[in-house]
Amino acid sequence: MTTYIDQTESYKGEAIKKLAVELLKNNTVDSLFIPFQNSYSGIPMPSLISDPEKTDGIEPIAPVAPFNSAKQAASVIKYATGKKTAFFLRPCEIRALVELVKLNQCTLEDAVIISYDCYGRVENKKYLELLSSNDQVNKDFYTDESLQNETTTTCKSCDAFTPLNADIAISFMGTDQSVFEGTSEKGSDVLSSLNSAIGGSLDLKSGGSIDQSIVEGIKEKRSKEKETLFSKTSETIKDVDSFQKMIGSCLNCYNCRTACPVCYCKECVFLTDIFLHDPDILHQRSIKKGVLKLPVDTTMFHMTRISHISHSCVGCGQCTSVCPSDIQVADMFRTVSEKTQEKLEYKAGQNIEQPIPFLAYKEEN
Amino acid sequence: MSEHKPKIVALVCNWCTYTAADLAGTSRRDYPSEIRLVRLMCTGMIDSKYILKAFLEGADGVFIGGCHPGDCHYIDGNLKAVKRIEAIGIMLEQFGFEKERLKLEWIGASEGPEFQENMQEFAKKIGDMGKVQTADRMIL
Ligand code: SF4
Ligand code: SF4
Ligand code: FES
Repeated sequence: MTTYIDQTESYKGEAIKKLAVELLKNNTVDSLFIPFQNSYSGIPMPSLISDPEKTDGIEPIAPVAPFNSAKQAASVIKYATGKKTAFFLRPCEIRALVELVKLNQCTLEDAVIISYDCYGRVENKKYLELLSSNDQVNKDFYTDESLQNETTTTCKSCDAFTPLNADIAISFMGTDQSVFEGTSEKGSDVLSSLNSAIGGSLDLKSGGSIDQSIVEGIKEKRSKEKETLFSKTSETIKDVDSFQKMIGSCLNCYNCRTACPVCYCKECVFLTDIFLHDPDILHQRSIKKGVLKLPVDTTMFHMTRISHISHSCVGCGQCTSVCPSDIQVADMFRTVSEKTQEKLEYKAGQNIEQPIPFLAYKEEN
Repeated sequence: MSEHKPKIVALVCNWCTYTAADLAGTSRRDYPSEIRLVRLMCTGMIDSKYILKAFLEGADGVFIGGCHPGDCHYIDGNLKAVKRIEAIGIMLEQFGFEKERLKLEWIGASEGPEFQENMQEFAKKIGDMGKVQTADRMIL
């Protein structure tokens, strides 16, 4: 595979932005799906951009993800339209998108997926706070370790931070430059056609190498964090008693479900009549145990959600980010999911050819 | 422990295991009274909600009975159930439910005696295990 390096800028976001703009200018793609700072939002929001003149607000690697954008990405490629779109996604967003493809929610036919080594994200609120005192935070984040320390618990313990299933992967861990690599045929074609079309303007040169030991070092550190977190969480959920201590302050707002990129049902069963109980049922349940906590079915909700999606959980941490009661939802989902996926010999978002476990049944014994 | 009379929910498909139960009934083969049969059209329609609801309401065991592979009235509902139930079992174990409390068996329409044996065996095992952790606990 040919790799290319961009030597013009030290801030990697600039290089990615230039790549994005050139893709649009050269009609390599019809649109970009990329974080974009419009004049209203503080947080760069995933946006669909089709005018190369309106690309100023592109902030490809701001250290924030207002949500996991896989569901929004899927809405753009629900079916093939013939409009080519370049999707700039974090590795966990690609994993979720891959799961959505397998669930027949979208098709990658018109998509070129571009991703990068992910340093993690900070919570939305934290980002706005940082931004209010430093308008260079997007850039500074990549050189200032104290800013990197502000990333979420999930990101700090995520060891799947390098792009998988992207068409173009941009590395900037283990190199001073930005190394662009076509990681699929589609991606290689895009890069080589772009390179010959624009020549010097992006200063893409063949070459570039990555010091893998640095990437491995980061991976090792994060894996260790993950191990510690998962073994602590296993203790926290070891029985229903402990588990209920963890979710005791849940208000059944279902934010965690809404935020989850792989919880894709249009109508969640918890919002249907099945869980809208008649008063006599509530009284009956109250009499049975003496006290009935309201709203009911909180434990049921979490366990059902875990059983429905633990094979697909991509570990993005968004469920924790949106919880008003500060419940570490992602810790428990990630912990249970790792075991489920291991036992089902399945890894969410990894192999696009492998069907989800519940559809891969065969006649055995 | 001997005082505890377990509660067991058996989710059985209409076409095989329920028919087997019927056959057991007409041949006067009784099954333990701690078992509550719930008839479903197919094991393929079993969602984790049914199993979780039973356990959270204090069921000591959940038995799932369907047609033998190849015999499912809906072709492959039972095969779909296998993976799902396996995944639910993996999850339940992490929340401290002993994995023996959930059991999946194929019992064909003509297997009345097998139905009785399975029920007796399961009821015995669950009885020996003692109360499920959710039995007297407030469930949120
Ligand atoms: S359960 Fe939480 S961590 Fe897992 S994919 Fe959904 S939002 Fe992300
Ligand atoms: S976001 Fe928090 S409070 Fe809302 S349903 Fe999820 S865990 Fe409960
Ligand atoms: S009809 Fe019996 S398992 Fe499907």
